[in-house]
Amino acid sequence: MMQRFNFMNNTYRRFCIAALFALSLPAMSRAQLQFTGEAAFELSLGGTNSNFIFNEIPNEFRFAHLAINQFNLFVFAPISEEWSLNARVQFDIWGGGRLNPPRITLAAALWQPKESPISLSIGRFVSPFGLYAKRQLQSDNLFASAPLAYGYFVNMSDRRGLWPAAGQSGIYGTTDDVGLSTVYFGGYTTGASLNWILIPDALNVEIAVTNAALSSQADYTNLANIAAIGRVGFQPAIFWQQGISLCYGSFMQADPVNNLVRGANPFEQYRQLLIGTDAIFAYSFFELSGELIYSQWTAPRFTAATGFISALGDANKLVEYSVSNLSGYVDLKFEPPFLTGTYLAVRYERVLFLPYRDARTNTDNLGWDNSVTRLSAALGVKFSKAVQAKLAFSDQAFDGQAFNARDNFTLRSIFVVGF
Amino acid sequence: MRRIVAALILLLFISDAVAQTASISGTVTLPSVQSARGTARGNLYRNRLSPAASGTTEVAQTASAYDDVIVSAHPISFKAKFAPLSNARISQKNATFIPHVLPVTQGTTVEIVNDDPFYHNVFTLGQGERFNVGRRPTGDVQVKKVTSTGETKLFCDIHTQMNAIIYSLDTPYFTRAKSGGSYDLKGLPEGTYELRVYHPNFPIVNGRVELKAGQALQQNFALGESAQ
Repeated sequence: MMQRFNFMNNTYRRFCIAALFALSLPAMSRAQLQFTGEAAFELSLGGTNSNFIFNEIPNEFRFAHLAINQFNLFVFAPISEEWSLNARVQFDIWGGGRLNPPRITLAAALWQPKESPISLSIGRFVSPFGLYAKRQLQSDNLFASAPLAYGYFVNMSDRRGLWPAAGQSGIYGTTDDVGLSTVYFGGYTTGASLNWILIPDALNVEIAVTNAALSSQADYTNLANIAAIGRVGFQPAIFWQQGISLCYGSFMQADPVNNLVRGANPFEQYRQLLIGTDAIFAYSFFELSGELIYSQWTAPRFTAATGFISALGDANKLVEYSVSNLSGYVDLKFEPPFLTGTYLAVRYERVLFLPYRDARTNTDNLGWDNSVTRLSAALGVKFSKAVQAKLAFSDQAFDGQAFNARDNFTLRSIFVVGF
Repeated sequence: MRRIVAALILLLFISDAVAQTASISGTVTLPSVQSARGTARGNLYRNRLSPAASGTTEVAQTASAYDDVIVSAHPISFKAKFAPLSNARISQKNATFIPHVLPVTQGTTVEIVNDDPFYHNVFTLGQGERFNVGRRPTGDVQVKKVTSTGETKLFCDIHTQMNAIIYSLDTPYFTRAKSGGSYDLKGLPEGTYELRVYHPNFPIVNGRVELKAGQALQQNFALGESAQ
């Protein structure tokens, strides 16, 4: 996220806050501006191999420490019968483990006529892709960490492209950061979104045109970086909700590190394709949910020794690589009927990196990142409508590596207060 | 002829009984700016299959903020007899509990019905009755006896914006305020009462009154301030 803050400098932040204030003015003059919020405090520790890009705990904070996990301010401004403004201003320790400056993660104008099956969002909004984007607040997330697709950084940089050694080359949140991204970064996207409820409580379609594909970290303003996101949600039975999502578009961004090659190789041409499915099965005191995402990137390749890799015989033309992975998780939640307000949950998740072919050397079955498996368990307690706590343990291992609770584990307790 | 005489005598007794009771009426005022019930995040992070779920703000759960105001009179100078209510019902409709506040007498059995075409859960937190009924399909009726007095706070685990209150009273003398804030408590026997005005967002306001037979007392209250 520090990369994002470099991009989102003070001037940009001030502009955003001023824009939010300006957008709020009509609402303030006509209706009651509503502020709510959510604060999440964290006491956590991690194993000796902890690393933010691996298990979301920076190594220097692997010992028991207390932090403000998130502080959110939500703004809801009804502008008219049909229009409203929604915004989220967020402080957090994402990335480096220290409290970041505030940023506006969400600021969207929502058009929603009463009784209409169609609604429209313009601005920065929750991405329609998948299930987790709607569960990313600590009060909605059963566990303390994000699923691997959202929290595990893959060897794909949105400034350098494919860099199989990158996972060992930089530390996230420092100047050594090499710009790695996750399969699905952040959960928010910028653009315009249409939600059409074709059959109430049975079938809806969401379509969004955005300024970057899901793994992009930057808040692009370059309209050449365009992506489309779609999701079909349906409810085949009362106990079963299903979603199918698709995303295709540009994901790379301009940066001094790629200035020299971008002229002959426009970075907008490199694309990410995601196909996902998510489901919720629920019955009585049990809920089974999860999602599976296939992601494919086309990107240039970078190495620390030679920089960007050019085609043989054409030094100006970068070789295009295609790599892919599968990521998914399954959650099982149980609410003990004899302990109201509590839940127990377990999660199995995995990221599987598929082999790729080196187009330059015609070599097949190459690996580009380490596949990983994570097991998690959580206990949550709701003390009142707005106060809850959870304790989550997880451990993870690369393929071929034994689970060792002292190396990669995380133990996180989160206390959440809504106001 | 005997029947007519008997009916006239009965009518005389009834009119005499009515004349012996007193009433309290007045107006409850709420602060002009109420605290919002956390609408912003609910709109953005919940299931989008339902139009009501994606657009309804929680403030719109009740037609008027006064619908949540319950005025009750608790006898001090005598012990009130009361019976459990019949037909006490809370519906889960359009991802909302209806009504938001249900006043009942202690011992009443409340039916909680899922009137939506999707799952709902009901669980309680805090004081009052404690239960969690799990996920329930359309038409499912849960029956819960309220043996305690005071608030029992209901929530739905699936739709986090949903909440309601069963407000259990140890008196038969209570009423819900009308949409403009006026209330009318009738049929109160002569005696000393503690008047309580309840709204889930404000501290209870109370006052002590003495009623004579046939008296019609006017008593206004302002929630969020001290009692008048």
